[in-house]
Amino acid sequence: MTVRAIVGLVVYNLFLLGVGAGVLWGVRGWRWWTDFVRLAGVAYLLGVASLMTLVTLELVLGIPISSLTIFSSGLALTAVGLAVGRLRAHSLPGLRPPGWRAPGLTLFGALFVAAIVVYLEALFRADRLSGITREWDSWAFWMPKAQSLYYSDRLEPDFLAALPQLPSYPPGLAVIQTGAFHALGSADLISLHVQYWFFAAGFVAAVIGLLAGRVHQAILFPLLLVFLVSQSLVERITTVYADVPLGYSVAIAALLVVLWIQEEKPWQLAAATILLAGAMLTKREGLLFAVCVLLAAFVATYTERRRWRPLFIAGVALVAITVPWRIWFTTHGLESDGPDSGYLGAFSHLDRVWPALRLAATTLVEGDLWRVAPYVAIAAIALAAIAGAWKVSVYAGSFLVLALAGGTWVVWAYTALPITRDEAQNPIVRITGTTVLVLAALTPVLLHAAWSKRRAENPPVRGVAMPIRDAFLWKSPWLWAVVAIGVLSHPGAMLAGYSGSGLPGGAPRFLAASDCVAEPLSEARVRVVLGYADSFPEANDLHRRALAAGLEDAEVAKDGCGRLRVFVDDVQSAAASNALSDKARAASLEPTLELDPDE
Amino acid sequence: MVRRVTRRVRVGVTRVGVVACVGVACLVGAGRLDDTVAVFDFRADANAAASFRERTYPESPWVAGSPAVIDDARLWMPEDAEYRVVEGRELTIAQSSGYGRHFLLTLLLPRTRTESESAPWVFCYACTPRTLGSEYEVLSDSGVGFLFARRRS
Repeated sequence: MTVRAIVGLVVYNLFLLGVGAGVLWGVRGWRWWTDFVRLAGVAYLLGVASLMTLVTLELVLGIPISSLTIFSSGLALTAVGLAVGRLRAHSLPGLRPPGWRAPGLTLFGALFVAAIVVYLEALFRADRLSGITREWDSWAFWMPKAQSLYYSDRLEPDFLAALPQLPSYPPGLAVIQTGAFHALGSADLISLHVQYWFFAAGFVAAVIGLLAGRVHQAILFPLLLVFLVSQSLVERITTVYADVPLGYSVAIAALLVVLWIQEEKPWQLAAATILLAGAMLTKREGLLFAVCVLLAAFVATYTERRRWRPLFIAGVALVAITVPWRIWFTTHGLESDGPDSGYLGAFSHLDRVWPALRLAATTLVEGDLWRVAPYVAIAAIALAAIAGAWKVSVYAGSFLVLALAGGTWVVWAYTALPITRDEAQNPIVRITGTTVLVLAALTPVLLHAAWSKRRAENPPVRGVAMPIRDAFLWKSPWLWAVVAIGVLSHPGAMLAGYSGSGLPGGAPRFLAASDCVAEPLSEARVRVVLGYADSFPEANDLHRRALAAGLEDAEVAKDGCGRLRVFVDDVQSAAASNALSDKARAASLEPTLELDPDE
Repeated sequence: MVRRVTRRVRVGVTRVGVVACVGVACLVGAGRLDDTVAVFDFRADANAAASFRERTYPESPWVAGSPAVIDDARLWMPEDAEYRVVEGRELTIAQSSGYGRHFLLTLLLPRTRTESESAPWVFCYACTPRTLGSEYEVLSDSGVGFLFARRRS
C-alpha cells in the first residue's frame, strides 16, 4: 500500500465515474451540471455495471483483458452514451439552473450527514489497511480469479475448475478487480480493499442523490445511517467478496424501479436494468434478485398493465446480456451454477422447505445481524399501506416476500447446505444482506410516502413536505459547516496527535518494505546491510559477491517485509562498520547501516 | 363524519408510526456509530500491526502448509515457474481436504501448478526429505512433513 497505489485507484474510479457519466448521458442526460453532481453516485455504479457487462462479453469472445482493453472498453461505452444522447437530442448542460442555491440542511440533517461522513472516513482507513488472511472466500477464489485475469489477461477453464468455487460463477466482479490491480500497479491484495470503499461511497451517494429532494432529510439520513451500522454489514463491508457489491447494485436498481413506478421516467428503468445486469454478472444470486425486483414491479403495476411491456423488455434484455457467459461455461464443459439437486430436483426434498423458510425468515429479523433495521423496514411497508400509498407498499412488500422465497429456495434446493446460519456452511446471511440493503434504499421512500401519501404517489422533485416542521428547525446552507466539522474532526484529531476520536494520533501509516529498516542509533551496535533482494537467486548472487570481497560473515535472511536482506550482523564499533563498508564499496556494493535488532 | 374520523385516525397512526421509526433509527444509528468506528479501527490496527507473513499467508486448521515454507517458495521460484504437488503416505485431514492445494494456487500466482513429473519445483505433503529421493534438493522444510524442493539439474 503506497500513496501511488491510492492515487492510481482514485484515477481508476474517476474513470469508472466517467464511463457511468457517458452511460447516464445516453439514458437520461442532464440539463444542469448540478443535476449530474446529485446523480454522481448513480453514474458511478452505472459505470461499474456497464463496464463489467461489456468486458465480460469480451472475455467470452476470447479478447485478452489487458489494461488497454479495459480502458478502451470504458471509452467505447462513454462514446456510445454520448452518441445516444446526441441522437436523443440532449442539449448541452448549463452549470446550474437560474436562481439555484446550494441545498440547505437542517441542523438535524447536518448531524446525520456528518455521522455518515465519519462512517465513511473510518471505513476508508479500515479498507486501506485490511488484509485477506481472514477472508476465506477472498483468497480461496475471488482473488485468484482476479489475479489470474491480471497476470494472463484471460480466464482459463482449467484454472477455474481448480478453484474451490463453481467454475461457472460469473466473472464480472473479477473484471473490475483486475482493472483495480492495473491501477494499483500490482496485484496488491491489501490495497484492493480500498476499491470496496469506492463501492460503498458510490452506494451512499446514489441513495442520497436519488432521494434528496424526494424524501425529507429528517427521514433520509437517519434511516440510511441505521442500515449502514447494522452489525452484519459492518462485518462484511471491508471484505473483498462479491456479496456487498452485489447488494449495492440490486439496492440502487430496486430504488430506481420504485421511482419508475411512481414517476414513470424511462431512464429510471433503463438504469435499473443496467445495474441488474451488473448484479447478475457479479454473483449468481444476482439472477435471483433481478427476478425479485422485476416480479415485484409487475405486482405493483398490476392495475396499470400497459406498464408491463417495458418491464418485460427489461427482463428480456437481462437474459440477453447474461446468456453469453452461460454459453461460454457450458461449451467449456464447466459445472453449472444451478442447484445440486437440479432445477426440479428440489421437489424430491420437500422436507427441507419448512426448515429453509424458517431459516430465511429468522435470519432476516435476527437482531444480532441487523439490529432494528429490518423491523423498521417492515413497519415502513405497513405504514405506507395504512396511509394508502399502495404502489410503493405493494412493491416493497412483494420484493420482501419474493426475496424471502428466494432465500428459502436456495437453502431448500442446494441440498448440500446444512440448515444453519453459520456463514462458513450456508450463505443465507450473505443472501439476506442484499435484501437488507434493498430495504435500506426503499425504507426512506416508504416512510416519506406514509407521511405524505398524496405527494408520494406523484412526488415533486423539490419542496417536499417537512415532517414536524418546527421540530427540525430551519434549513440553511450554513449548516454545511456542521458537516465540514464532521469531515475534519476525525483526520484533524489524528493529525493533531489525539487518539481519542477513534483514529490513532499521528500521520497515516503506509505499510511498506521500509518498515523493516531500523535506523542506527549512536553508540548502539549496527549491522552493515549489503543489499536487499526480491528472490533467493538474486540474494545468493549478492552474497557470493560479498564473500568474494572478503566479507566472510555476510549472511542472507528474510527481512520480515517480504524481501531478503544480505548483511553482516553484530558490528560493535563505528570503526568496524566503516571498514566493512569500505570493503563492500570496493566490490561495487552499496552498504548501509541499520540498527542491530538484538540491541 | 365517520369517514373523516377514520381518515384522521389513519393519518395520525401513520404519522406517529413514521416518527417512531425515525426516532428508533436516530437512537440506534447514532448509538451504534461509535462502536462501528471502533470495529473498523480495530480491523485496521490489527492488520497494520501484523507482520508481512501474518498479513500474507492465512493460517487455518483447514489449510495445510506452513507460511514459512510457502514464503521460501515464493522467494525461490521465478514468476513463470511451474510446480507440482505430491503427497506422502499419511496425510492429515487438513492435507487431504484439498485446501492446501488451493492455498498454494492462490498465494503463489502467477506461478502455475502442473501435473508434469518433470516440473522443476515440487511441494510435498506428509513427506520427509527421503520421500522425494536424491533427485530433489529440499529448500525448505516445515518440520511437520511439508516440504518445498527443487529438482537437481
